Amino acid sequence: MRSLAEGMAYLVAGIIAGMASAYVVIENTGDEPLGGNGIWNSRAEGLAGSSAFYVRAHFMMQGRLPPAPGQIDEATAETDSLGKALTGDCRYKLVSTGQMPRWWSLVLLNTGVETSSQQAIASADTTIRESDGSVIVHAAVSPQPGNWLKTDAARRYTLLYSALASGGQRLASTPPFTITREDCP
Amino acid sequence: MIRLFWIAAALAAAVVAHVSFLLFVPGYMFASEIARMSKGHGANHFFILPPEDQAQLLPGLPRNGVTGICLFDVSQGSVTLSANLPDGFWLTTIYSDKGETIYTVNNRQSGSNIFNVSLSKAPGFIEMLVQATDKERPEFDSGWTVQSPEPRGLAVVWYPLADPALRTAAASAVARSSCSSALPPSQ
Repeated sequence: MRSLAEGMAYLVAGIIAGMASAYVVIENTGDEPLGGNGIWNSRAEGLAGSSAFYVRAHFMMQGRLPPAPGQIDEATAETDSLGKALTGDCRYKLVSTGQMPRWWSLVLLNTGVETSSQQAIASADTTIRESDGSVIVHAAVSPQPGNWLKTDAARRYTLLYSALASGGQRLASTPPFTITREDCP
Repeated sequence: MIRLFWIAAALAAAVVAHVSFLLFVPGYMFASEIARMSKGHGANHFFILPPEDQAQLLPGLPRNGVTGICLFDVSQGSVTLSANLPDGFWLTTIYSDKGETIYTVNNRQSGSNIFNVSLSKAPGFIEMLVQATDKERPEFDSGWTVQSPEPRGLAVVWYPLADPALRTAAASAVARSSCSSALPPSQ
């Protein structure tokens, strides 16, 4: 009897380990850092490579579609330039790093909040460019001069950058924005 | 010896659980979301997503744009997506129900805002052999043809807007598109 109980414990542990390893593989496969500042990660290359099955599974587990390859590129950032997690407690300055594509957007994702009635977003259609063509966006809880990306207080978040893949700049090798922490209690 | 047996059984269970999770869990979670969004519309019908569902399905895109989708099912025959889109930038992408992109085109690549895409099931290995022998080929409507590796999938049309005030009018324009099965309606 004791041997049977011990065996069942082994089996349950095996099942849990198998499922956990699958989850870890799905979440990590193909998530490659973009060159440069090391803040941004992208699954664009993974979607086109041999690990595409796992990368697609990552998107499907979130109940969403992957970006159309060759049409829209995506990258995510969870930390600032110092490697600290992005949080609504702090104010950040985001500065574009090169020529901007014809269309782009920067969406703030909080778990469960992105589908609320308010979408925190800055995009090519809603931002004002600097005289040199660059874009500066301030991410903060309270309104900011210039381009403002509203964050939620005391919540960690992820920034999702999307851009049309056509044009001179491809996301695969160029991080879109630097993220500098400006003010933090 | 018995412990060794259970360790081997645990390893086998881990492998089975790992593969089962990969094969079924993402597909189930995605299908659940799509079923919720398409409730009341069904297969082979084109409809406009509300902004909240659009933000869930395509979170990187601004919700003041317009997204229309068609859940197609080509298991019983081909399905035609008849796009009739307004001027300006748009993007049409066709996914299998495994999230694989099988076709994508934008307004510049298309050259026209009005076009048909005929969707059908890609032939299996045996069917390809039979077709090669009999010199048979599937017949398609005029327009582009796309063969899906899966019987079910999703056609997505995205039309971005700079001004949220234009959303209602743009949604009406995008909704002129349709999705229809080649099969006659069931009695």
